[in-house]
Amino acid sequence: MFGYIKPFSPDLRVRELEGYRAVYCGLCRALKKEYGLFASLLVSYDMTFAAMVLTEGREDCRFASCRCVASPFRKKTCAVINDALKVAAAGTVLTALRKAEDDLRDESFFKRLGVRLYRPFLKHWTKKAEKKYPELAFETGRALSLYETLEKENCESVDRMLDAAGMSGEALASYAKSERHARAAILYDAARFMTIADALDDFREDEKKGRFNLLRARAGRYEEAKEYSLRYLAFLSAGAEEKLEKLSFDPYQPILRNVFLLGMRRSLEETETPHRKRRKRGYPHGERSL
Amino acid sequence: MAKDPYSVLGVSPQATDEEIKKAYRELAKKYHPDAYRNHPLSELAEEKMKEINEAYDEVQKMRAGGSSRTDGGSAYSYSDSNGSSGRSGVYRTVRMYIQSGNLGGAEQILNGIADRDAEWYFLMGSILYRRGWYDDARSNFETAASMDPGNAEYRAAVERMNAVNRTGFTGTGAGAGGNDAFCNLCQGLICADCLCEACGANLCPCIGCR
Repeated sequence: MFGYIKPFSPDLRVRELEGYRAVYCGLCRALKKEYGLFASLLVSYDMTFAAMVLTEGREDCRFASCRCVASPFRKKTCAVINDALKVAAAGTVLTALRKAEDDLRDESFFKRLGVRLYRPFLKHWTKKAEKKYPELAFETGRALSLYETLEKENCESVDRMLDAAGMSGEALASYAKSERHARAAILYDAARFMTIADALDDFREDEKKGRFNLLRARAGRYEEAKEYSLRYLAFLSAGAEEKLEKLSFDPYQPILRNVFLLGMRRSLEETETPHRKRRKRGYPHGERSL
Repeated sequence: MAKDPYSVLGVSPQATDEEIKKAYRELAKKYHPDAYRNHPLSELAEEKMKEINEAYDEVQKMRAGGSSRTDGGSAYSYSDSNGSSGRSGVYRTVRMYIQSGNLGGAEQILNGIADRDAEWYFLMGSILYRRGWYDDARSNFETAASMDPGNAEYRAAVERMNAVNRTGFTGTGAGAGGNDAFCNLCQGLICADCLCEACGANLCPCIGCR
């Protein structure tokens, strides 16, 4: 949703990078198929990650060649839609509505206008998702409500707020047929990371506007907040390895590991540069050697 | 992974008793076993129901127990039969629970103790660490160390929380991408293992001195 949970592509094998893109394409197609053409605009790196975590095994991971709406002249390799992608699509829709409502409060006038335009679509899609995956809808709603409540209370405990956010990640694993606890734990940590990264990204702005930011409880300045976030990430990464081991049958496991060990850190580093200047792929600009 | 009871119920610790009851009712309605008979998610629902009931009981106990009880009642009185003084016997039980992964049980016992000393904070920190609440875990360890500065175990825990190294980003140092990931992995594992050992558990038997 915010794009913080992604791999560091220079350190992926070519086939892994292609696999990752295939899942991304697969998510786009799943959104289109389950919810309609415009829904595929909601596709994100974060939910692509979720889809990879939820893949059951090698048999569940099939690729096919298909045309892409965004680049109609090239055929692309994309993952065949499986349960993992369907759940990820539902998760995308369910969290998108909340995000839109957040934006309505926080963002500028023009953005708000845009949001008002597509909100009715989101509501319709949300209803569909609720029907298909009632437990996911219920848990995601609960998690996000709790987060909002804690935010209003200016909760001092970073961990408690992250836990609320993490619950929405865990919920995605409700339908897993195997290793549900390990998958839930990974998604829990991923959701928590996403929340920290988002808080760090918004830190300076929140400081200016006097808005609540969960890192403010622990850091007065951006540099301290970044230090804190990097430390937290170190703990998350260390914990992730143990959980990833349980998913050794998941063909995307190396990519997941890359995300935790390299990709996430890059996301935190990127918060230094303004959005426009961030590179989508590859090394950040600047001097480097191989 | 044992969860914080307020989180399970989806309420803030500041919630009123009425809000908690409401949350419990809503959850019990959602995950009621009757609705999940012959349902593919029956196992999940059963697990959730158990978690919810335990969490509700725990919250009731925490709120009713209050600050006047230094005794804590029957939850751990059996450990007195070891002949050691009540408190250290209790803590021994808590450590045992933590080591065997019964975080919920360990936390219940600790929550029943009103008089909190350094070891209480250390043990609570260990539980929080296992649950992934790293920030609160660190606060607890720091409190333990400040209450009992001479204790090496508590100091070591604080130092390990602070010593977690931030792994290198660009991957240039280690050359081929694979190497860098491996270094991060090892570093991560070693850190995680050290921290687990600090709490009496052992993540990786082949790492460390114990």
